[in-house]
Order: sequence, then structure tokens, then C-alpha cells
Amino acid sequence: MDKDTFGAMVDRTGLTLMDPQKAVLFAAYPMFQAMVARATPPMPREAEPALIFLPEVR
Amino acid sequence: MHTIAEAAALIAAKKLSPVELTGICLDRIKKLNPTLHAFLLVTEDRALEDAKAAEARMMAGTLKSPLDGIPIGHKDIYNTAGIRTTAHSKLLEHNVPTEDSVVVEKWAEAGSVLMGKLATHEFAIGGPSFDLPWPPARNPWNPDHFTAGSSSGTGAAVAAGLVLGGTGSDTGGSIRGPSALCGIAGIKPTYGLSSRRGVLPLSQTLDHTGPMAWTVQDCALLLQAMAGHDPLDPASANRPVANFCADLDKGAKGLRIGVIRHFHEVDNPVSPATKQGIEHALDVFRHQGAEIRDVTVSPMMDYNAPGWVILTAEAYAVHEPWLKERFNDYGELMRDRLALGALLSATDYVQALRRRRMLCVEMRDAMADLDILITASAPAEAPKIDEVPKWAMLEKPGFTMPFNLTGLPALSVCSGYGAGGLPVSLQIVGKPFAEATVFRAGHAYEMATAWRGKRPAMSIPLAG
Repeated sequence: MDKDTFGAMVDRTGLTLMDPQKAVLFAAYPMFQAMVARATPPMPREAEPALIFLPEVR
Repeated sequence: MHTIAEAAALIAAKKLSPVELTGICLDRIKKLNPTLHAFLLVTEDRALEDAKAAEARMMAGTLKSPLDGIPIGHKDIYNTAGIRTTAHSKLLEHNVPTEDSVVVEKWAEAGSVLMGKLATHEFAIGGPSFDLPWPPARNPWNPDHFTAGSSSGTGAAVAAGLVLGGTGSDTGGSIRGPSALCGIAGIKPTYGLSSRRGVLPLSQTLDHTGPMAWTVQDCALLLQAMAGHDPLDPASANRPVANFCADLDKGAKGLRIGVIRHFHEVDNPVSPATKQGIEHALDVFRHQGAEIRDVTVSPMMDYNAPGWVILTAEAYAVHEPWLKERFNDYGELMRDRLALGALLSATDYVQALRRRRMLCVEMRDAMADLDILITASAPAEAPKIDEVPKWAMLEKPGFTMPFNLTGLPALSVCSGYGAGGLPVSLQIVGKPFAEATVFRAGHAYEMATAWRGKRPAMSIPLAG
């Protein structure tokens, strides 16, 4: 992803960042993407999330 | 300097005045806080009022608990009625809550003496930061060095003897990190054991409240006074609270201990002093009659990755309105770390939650025939405060996040001192709601070693 594409992606979030602030995030983004990829490996279709809905509201 | 257990015994015997003890701590705060920045607010009048009330109960023989008359502090994300609660942030610089958080209320009911509000990383994640209304806390073992965070003020204040105990919160390691780097004890209890109500949230499925103190025994006493079901905290566990001190003196004989050696030797290799501390602890446990064997689970980064995805997504959800309206009122570290949350997809979050469940099952199975697990709680001694990497959590896996992700109780204890003279540490992990076993192991280790006899040099001349 190039800097302009990344900047456009940030703009779509509704955050109003200046260019130097976007540049800081852009530099860290590859590491963040690697972490997201590691957190989301292929899993069995039936794998449940850790949080499940409970109808008894507390 | 007394521990809580020592001070409680002396107060119960009418040999220590809570007013005098509080005066000693206030004097220490006046002398050391200008260097340590551990307190954001000192509530001197409230402290003296609390101490006088405790002294009256002592004289009347009506002490409420072992915490009666004990000086404590609260991390500044715990709401305190009528007392400023800032999260160390410009956004809440003048925030004065109208109600106490549940834990603050419980410790007050136990008779503790509120000394003030303690520094934190901004909203329990952004630090160490130098662009906030208050400076970051400094490490009493060497003020040029980092305390770790986010319960930075509690770590510094307890280590320097400004208070005998305090509250922390732990979402990815914020109790155990500063406990490790400041050389004290701190426990992240089982998720749901102690209420989070009235504590500013960071990431609701990972947030834990817990105590920090000089010794494991003191942590047990403090946790006893904060644990319990809170029907208004949706995550609170509705089950009886164990007696955390019941097994303290049983020693390690018969304990079945697993060592997650690859966490601290392969996944994020620790310093020689940290490794030596762990090996020495295993020798201590073995000598006392524990069974010890190695355990292998997924690499530590496999636990950290879903943890940080969940944390970043949930924290962004909490802060999104302010981030959109007042981005530049946050400190740089906080706003940059949280802004990445805006770039996560719903799928990323749900997949991380699915992965979390698989890892919880893996850890449960790994512990099936064990009582506790041992690994490091920090990789080494504290770095210099101006040399902490901004994206450390993305670069190397941390030792604490696996147990936020799985919700297991995890205790950090001091295991010696490194080449620079600062503390090193190890982590003791238990099964869900088995805090008493974790405390038993930690106390057995502390009683068999000399580390609790050494305090930071800056605090020794002030010893009362």
C-alpha cells in the first residue's frame, strides 16, 4: 500500500489527522498488519468466538 | 518500612499508630514525589481524617480488617467521589466523579487510609508520555529509568514506600509490568474476580482490576478486600470468594509446576539475570518438594496478536468520539496507538475473538495436570525512560498478554537484581479462580529468598 492510499483509508475513518501524523501511522502499519494476520489464521468453520451471547442480561 | 501484614499486626496490638504511620508516608511523599512523580494528587486532609478514624477504632478495639489504618493509593483511572480523577489526560484534567468505584468503596469500608491518586499511562495505555499535563512516574531504583505501565505511579509509590499498597489495572500487563520493573508484587486476578465498575475502561474483555504491594502476602490481603461479585459489572463472576491467605504458609511441597520455557528462552529471550532468577526459583520450589516439568504451548506472539487486535479494537470503540473531536488533546503515544484501531475490520475483531477461544482451550489443556505455570513477567531490568520504543508491543511479544487473553490469574514477583542494580522478576500463573495457590507459591518463594529485604536506595534514609 502506498502513502496516498493509506492516507485515503485514514480519511475514511473520520479521524482528522495531519500529514505528519498519517506518516507516523503509515510507518507502523506494516507491523500492525503482520500482527492482525497472526491473530486471524485460518480456523475451522465451527470455531466459536470467546465471547458468546447470553440472553440473561446482567 | 513495614509491610501491610506487619503494620496490621502492630496496629492490632496497639503498638503502631495509624496517624503516625500516615504522617510518615506523607513526609516521604513530600520528599520523594518531586523526583518520582508517582502521585498526581495527594489527599492529605482525607488521609489524616481516615487515619484518625482508624486510630479511634484501634483504641476501641473495633478494627474493621487488616487494612484498617493502612495508607494506600489509587491509580487515577479509579473513580473517587469528590476527588479529581484524570486518567493522566488533558481530556479529564478537571473531572471530579460523584461516586467511588466499587474497589475504592470496598477498600474504604475496610478502613484503609486514602493518600491520593497515582500516576498512570494516559487512559492506561499511552506512556511514558512527556506531552501530558503531568510528567510520567519515575523508577525509585533509578529515576532515569522506566517504571513500565500503565500502573506506573502505583509501582513507584509502593517500591519507594510512599504507600503500603495500591490499585492497578491490567489489560495487557499494566499491573505485572510495573510490579516487575519496580521490584514489587502485583497480581492480575482471574477475569471477573474483582469489579471493574467505576474504573475507566480501556478494553472491556481484557480489563482487570487488581492490587500491588511490596509482598505477595500483602497482595493477598488487598485482593481479599476487593474481590467479590458485583451484580452491576456484567463480567463479574457470581461465586464465593476464597480465603487467599489460607494456604500462604503451606510451602511448595506437592505443587505441580509447569515451566513455559520457550516463552522466555525462544519467543522473547530474557536477560541473563532474569533467566537466572527463574532457574533459581525453580530450584527453590524443587527443594521444597514441588514437581517441575516443561510445558509447550503456541508461540507467545500467537497469544499477543489476538490480544492486541482485541485491545486496539475495543479501546478505539471506547475513545472514538473523542478521537474524532479532540484528537490532539490526547498525548501522541495514546492517540497513535489507538488510531490504528480505526483501521481494523469487523472481521479482524471477530476472528481474533475466535482465535482467543482456541488459545484459552490450549492453555486449559496445558494446565490440566498442573497447579501453576512459570515464565518471566518482563524481559529484563527497566530501560531508560527516554529509550522506550513507541511500538514495542508490535515488535516483540510480551509475557503478560497471554494471561489477559486467557483470563488466568497471574502474579509478578521480584526474583533478584540485574547488572544495573534494578529488579528482575518472574510470573506465576494459576488456574481460573485459583489465586490462593498462586499466592501460596509466590509467598513460599519470597520467604525462601532475601529479595524483600532490599529497598531502593533513595527511600532508605527516610525509613521511619
